[in-house]
Amino acid sequence: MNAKVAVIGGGPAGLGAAVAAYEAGINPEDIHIIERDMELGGILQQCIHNGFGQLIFGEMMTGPEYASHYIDEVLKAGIRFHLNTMVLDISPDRVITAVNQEECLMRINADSIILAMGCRERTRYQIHLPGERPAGIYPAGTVQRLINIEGALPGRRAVILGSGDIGMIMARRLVLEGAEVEGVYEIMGSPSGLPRNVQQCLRDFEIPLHLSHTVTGIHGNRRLEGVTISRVNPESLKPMPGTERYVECDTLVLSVGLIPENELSEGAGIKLDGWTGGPIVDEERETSVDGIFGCGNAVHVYDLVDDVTKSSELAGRSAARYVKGETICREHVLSITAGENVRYTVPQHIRKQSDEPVEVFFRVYLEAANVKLQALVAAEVISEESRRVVKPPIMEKIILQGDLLPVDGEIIIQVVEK
Amino acid sequence: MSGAKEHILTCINCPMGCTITVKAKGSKVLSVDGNECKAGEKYAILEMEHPMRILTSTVKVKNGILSRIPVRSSAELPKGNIRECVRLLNDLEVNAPIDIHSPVLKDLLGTGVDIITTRSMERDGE
Repeated sequence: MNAKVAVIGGGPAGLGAAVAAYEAGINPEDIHIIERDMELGGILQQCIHNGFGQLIFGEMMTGPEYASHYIDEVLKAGIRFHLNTMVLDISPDRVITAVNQEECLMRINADSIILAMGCRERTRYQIHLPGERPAGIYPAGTVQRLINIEGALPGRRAVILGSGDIGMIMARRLVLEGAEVEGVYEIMGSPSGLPRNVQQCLRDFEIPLHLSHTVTGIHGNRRLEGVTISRVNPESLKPMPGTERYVECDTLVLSVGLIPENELSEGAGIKLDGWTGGPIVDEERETSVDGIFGCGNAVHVYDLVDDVTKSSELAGRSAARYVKGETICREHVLSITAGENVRYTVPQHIRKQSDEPVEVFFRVYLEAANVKLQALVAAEVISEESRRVVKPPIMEKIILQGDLLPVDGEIIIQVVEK
Repeated sequence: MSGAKEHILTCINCPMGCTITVKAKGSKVLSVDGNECKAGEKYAILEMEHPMRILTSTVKVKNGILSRIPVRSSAELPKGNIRECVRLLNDLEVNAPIDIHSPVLKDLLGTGVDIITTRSMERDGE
């Protein structure tokens, strides 16, 4: 089978990328979305809460409604998609190997590939949580699937470790479905999820949020019976002896971060960024392998699906341009470097010749008030924006005007006091 | 002013989540400060006088490709009624196939607000 554009993953990123490639002039018959689930929409189908779509549609939608919009676009355009199909391998010369029940093994020779695999949840073992190994310990997204898709309540009395958005959203869901949530425990000194979720998911339901606390013990033989909670030193994040407290619970929900899913990217020889966990990409979202693009949470984990869609539309347009042979590379690559109070940037470099503005996404290390976001070239400011406050859970963005970009060298992104 | 109290709110309108300081006497708002936009002011006043929330949940669905279908309230409901409204959804069961935005419960507790589906669901086996 041949494809002009093959999209790996039928979630919000994959849908947005496929539709954008179609709108950029690629024949819908030549666009293939490959999805491992039984339907399109990805994780949005289990995100039944609202708050999606504000940037793109100017209204608050639920996850399934947001997904529906793009699924309808795919169907209307006649873009091809393969459900229940698992991609096993992507080669550097863009041959995709996948399996499903109808065709068993299938190979797709693709002129371009868009990686839209999304992300995975960090597990108990990745945060080195000590103790017994009973049933009842779930990543927040699994609890979300159990309650919202399967209609099953995972337990009666839950403790939530980590204040990520999904954890807070599931705290509210658990309470609404009749379970008790003893509290949310966060190792850092500030919540890791969005402020609005602290309000509408925790405070609205009087669920306590304990900052600078973590779980230091898991108890229970077959089923979880309780956890030990300790206060941590705010500097070293180490548990403080003598602060241990036993909390009875039958469920521990982990909301301790998301990691871009990139086993396939690694197999294709794509260079990953140690900070984001996703492929290193240029301003068109092309990875280090020719003709393979990345978008959405597979590149770096976004706060908002609207930004996932925008990044995937960019990747979709870029793949179309690549397939049509319209891409022009710059003579010199411009690197983008994370400066003061900037953890990482996406894109990591600029490689194409264009006058289009470049949006650089980044996260700060530390909360700060009254700051300037700056882009510097040779100590000269080429772009600057003010913010009343910046926080690590909120992704920031600065726009670089195409005509102000230098011929070569480095662009430094930094956040400094006014 | 005597009896005026300061309240700290977090706006839920957008991801920015502005911290808003409201001075109010009882539920009467005297001043709103800290919001980046107009929606924040509106939220703060409503939050003091009569807090409202969108309700999202699921209901049982028969013959569908899945056993639950997600739903939401067609408009905001009084925050104090949310738990009662969720209980009303417990016994509800709808039939597949069903379209997105189909009402499954009308005029919830006399609020004029409906509960509607947020996706379509095909019949199993079709």
